[in-house]
Amino acid sequence: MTTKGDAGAVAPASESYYVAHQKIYPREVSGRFQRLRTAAVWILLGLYYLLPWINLHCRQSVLFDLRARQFYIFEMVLWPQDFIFLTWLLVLAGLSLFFFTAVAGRLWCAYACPQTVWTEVFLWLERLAEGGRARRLKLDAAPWSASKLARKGGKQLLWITFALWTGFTFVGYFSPIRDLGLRVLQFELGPWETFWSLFYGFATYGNAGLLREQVCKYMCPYARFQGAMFDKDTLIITYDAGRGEPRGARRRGADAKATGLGDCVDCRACVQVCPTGIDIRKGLQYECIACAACVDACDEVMDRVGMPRGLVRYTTQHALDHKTTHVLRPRIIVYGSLLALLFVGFIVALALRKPVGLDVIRDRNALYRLLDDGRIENVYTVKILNKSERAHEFTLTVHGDGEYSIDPLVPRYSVAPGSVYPAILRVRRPAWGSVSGSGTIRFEVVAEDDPRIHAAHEARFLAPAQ
Amino acid sequence: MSVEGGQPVDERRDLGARARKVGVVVWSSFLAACAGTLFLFAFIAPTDIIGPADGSDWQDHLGTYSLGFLGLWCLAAVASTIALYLHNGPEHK
Repeated sequence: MTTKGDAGAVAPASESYYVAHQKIYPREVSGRFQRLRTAAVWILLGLYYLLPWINLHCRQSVLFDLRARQFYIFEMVLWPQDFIFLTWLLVLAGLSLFFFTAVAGRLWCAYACPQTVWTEVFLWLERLAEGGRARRLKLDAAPWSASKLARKGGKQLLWITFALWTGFTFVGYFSPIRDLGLRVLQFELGPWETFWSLFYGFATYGNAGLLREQVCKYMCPYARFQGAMFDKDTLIITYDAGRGEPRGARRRGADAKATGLGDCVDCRACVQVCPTGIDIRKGLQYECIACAACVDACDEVMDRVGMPRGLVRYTTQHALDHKTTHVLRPRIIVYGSLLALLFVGFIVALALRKPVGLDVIRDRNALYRLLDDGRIENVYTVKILNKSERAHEFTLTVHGDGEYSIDPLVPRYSVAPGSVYPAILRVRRPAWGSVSGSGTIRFEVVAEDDPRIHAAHEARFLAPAQ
Repeated sequence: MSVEGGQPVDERRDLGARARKVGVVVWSSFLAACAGTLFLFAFIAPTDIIGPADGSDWQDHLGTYSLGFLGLWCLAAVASTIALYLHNGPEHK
């Protein structure tokens, strides 16, 4: 039996279309872009591991409190009612990705993607336990021995410890981390907290320790569609074939022109440092995460052989073709304008967000009730949400066309910060007064200490038709 | 471990075609479950499901969120598997 490939070629059915994975042993590299990447790792992972330990207003500065259903992000407190802000933030993040990719290529992949930064740390730990590239190659090729077992075991110990710490920190964003830490020490962690710590730790270990570049190559959706955001003016890392070819080794100090060779000395340093194992000299490939390790490696070699830097560099296709690179182009203007508009809208909406919310639910058990004194009564459950970080005393009033009265007469509610106060309110109106039939009434709450803090909600008042 | 084209090949780390398909299903359904959980629990509180009396316990809340997420993940994984199965139509067999 045979199967037909894309190009119409006939291949045996048992033949796999997947190439066997080759373990990549990226060589350590130094240079300006590596320094930038290292800084990004320290800043981003530093924030991840330290933020939950920083307190603000006697609470964790960043806490997604699932129990209270409140998200604390520094001064901002988001409630389920503020879901729109989270959605807005996600849209902003997505659009930023589009914008920065169109301008400068895969900046996200190179410097900020969690996969990149955690893989970098796992690589550091691997080097710490097993040594540099040459030693790791030799170690993997060597038969099992006590030394190999110790090095491999040491690496696994470092990886697992780091992964568990990562998992613990992750749970610490959802459950106060100081209390969580105490309970870990007392072996009193809940079953779900244990599960998520292990789950996230395992995911970190698997993705950054074992799979590494395979996540970018096979699992990352962004790697597949980022090509749609690229054009000939997008910043990419590329090999200057015009300058480098024909490549070949030559003696130190030899005149390249006389030998007929280009500037590439074919040292393969760019291949050895690549974390995804590609050869940038073959052109732009989707596996390239634009980490610029090849740029640093090539610059180092160019310095050594006394040739100008930049054989592999950040550039654009237009620049390579000796054409003008346009930074401002329609897609950049569209992405940039949308991003600016949404960002300004987000800030304005956030600034105008009311620190108090009011929810009014009619009693569903009875439409209305006729009282002995000839009035009609509707019962409501009123929920006052104090979204601020201070307690407030709220006064509630009801307005509408007609003579409405409420029970309790002067409803005052003291609502603690970040909490909901549910109250039962009876609203009454004469059955046959100036107004009859159903109508709309307006509930209003005002903070007694600050009249600017107020909220209103409209509801139906049901009454028999005349 | 063997050597292929001058590069050492570690077969233990080769995901293989089947494992890659599993990876695609698991990963894409995980992303869908993350978004689904955010959306679902923005509108439904655990107390709406387990009742306020039981909802006072933190572990009950976390359990509801966790089961919600895992349930959505399973659902999305089933959908992804069916999509993958149907994508590989009879002409591929």
